[in-house]
Amino acid sequence: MRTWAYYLRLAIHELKRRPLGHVFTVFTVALAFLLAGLVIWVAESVKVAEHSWSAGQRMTVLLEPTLAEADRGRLEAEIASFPGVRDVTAVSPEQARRELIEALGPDSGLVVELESGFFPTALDVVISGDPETVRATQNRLRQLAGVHRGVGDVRSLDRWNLRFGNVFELSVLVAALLCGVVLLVSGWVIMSAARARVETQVDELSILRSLGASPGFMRAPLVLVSLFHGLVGGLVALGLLAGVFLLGAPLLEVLLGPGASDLRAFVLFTARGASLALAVTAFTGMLAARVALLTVRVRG
Amino acid sequence: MLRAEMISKTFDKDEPLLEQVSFAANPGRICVIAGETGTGKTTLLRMLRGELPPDAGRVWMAGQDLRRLSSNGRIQLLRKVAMVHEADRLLGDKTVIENVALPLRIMGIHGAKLAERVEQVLTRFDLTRLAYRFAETLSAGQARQTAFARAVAAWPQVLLADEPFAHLDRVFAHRLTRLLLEHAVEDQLAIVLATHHLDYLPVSDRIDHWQIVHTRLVHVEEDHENLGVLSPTGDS
Repeated sequence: MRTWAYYLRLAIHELKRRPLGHVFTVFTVALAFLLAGLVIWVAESVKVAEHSWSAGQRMTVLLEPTLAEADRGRLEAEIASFPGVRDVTAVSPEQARRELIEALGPDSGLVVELESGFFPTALDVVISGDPETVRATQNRLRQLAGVHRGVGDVRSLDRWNLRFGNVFELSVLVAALLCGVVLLVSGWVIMSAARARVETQVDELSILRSLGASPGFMRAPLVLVSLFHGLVGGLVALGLLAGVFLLGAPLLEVLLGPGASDLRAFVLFTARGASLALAVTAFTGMLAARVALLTVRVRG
Repeated sequence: MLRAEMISKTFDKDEPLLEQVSFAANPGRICVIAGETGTGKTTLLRMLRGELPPDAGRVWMAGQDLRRLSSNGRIQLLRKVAMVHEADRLLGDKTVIENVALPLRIMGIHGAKLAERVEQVLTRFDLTRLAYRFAETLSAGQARQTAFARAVAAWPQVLLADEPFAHLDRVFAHRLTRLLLEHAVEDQLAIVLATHHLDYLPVSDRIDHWQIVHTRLVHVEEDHENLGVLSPTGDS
């Protein structure tokens, strides 16, 4: 315990000794985290948008003509109890025909000739909620087709997805790649900052080694300072990200649609980001200290 | 305690620096190794401390062959065999007291035991009044005293010093050697001083003189007036 208190004192001493250098390092680390955070956030937002757009939030359950009125009522009630289901409306064949004619407008000539019996009875299901819930309920509804008595088919309004799904998948992939590159660069920046700091302490480390200090004794204050950089740099980056989020969220909603900037997701992201920042800086600090100690020899 | 057995070192193939050097440092005594600049004094000290492997021969510390030490054993060796370098190598932005306490902290000693030992060493080396001065503000003599105080603080068994009298005057060097001698006797410490300032040394039957002559280490009669006269008694 006392040894750790001493390491802490050494670390604080080191921070006081070169305040400007440490401020610079903290901002370098903050910048790296900010870049990484922005890319992760944009990737998350694109993912959220992709979920909400591609999956569609309206589904149509086509019913067999043989399904009795009472069974249809039970099915309606069952679907209404699924998580995220906001509304279940029965659509009669006549209503379906009428709506289609209205929708087609001047091109409805052929449909007008069709008998109302051509259209099946359907249940129009509206789903809302977070992407995971929507997706889970959609899958559950799809599983009804051909399995549940009286359900002929289940269709979603996902034509948009069929057309543009690949573009979105590609954009998510590009965002993920970019994120990887930025994280690597961030790691390199943090590592370089730690390495540069250690370089300035080579003489001191050499003296400690000459006095018989163990590698752990020399490494501990270096890692503590790295942790400080990570903690403060991470907090600064998260503060800036919060600012960017507050200013950029409305713009993102306009660009990507509602739900693209979920505050809950941001809070979760913040917690994950803070842990990641600490882990990254502890690891890079230790790595930098290890590399530096390999280069330090006992000198006369 | 610390013993070199027929050790040799060559950096330039055609010109061996040290050949078949045998030497022992014993508790309560000071061994002075003299020699001109470039004759291998520092190299010899580094070999004695395990920092440099000899090309031939062996170095033993408390019955242990330095070649067979594990990495942890080497760390322990650096604690047992302390060294004062020609450049004092103090931590300039730390106070005298912090510098002296450093080897104790490295050994995991804290609190009252640390305070007691630091006070004892500071008193012995007459550094109490300078305890809270930053090392970078010390004069050459004060810095040398602090370096010695730091070196002996964690109860080493052997103390090696490379050119301990560089930049010091004769009076100061005399006083420092007396201090070291007292310390050697009290703590049963073996001290090895590598210097070419032989005239700075006080006369004492506890000081053994050795000299490097043409790659060999030879024992010298304790006659300060005729230090140039070499004796072959130190089997080199």
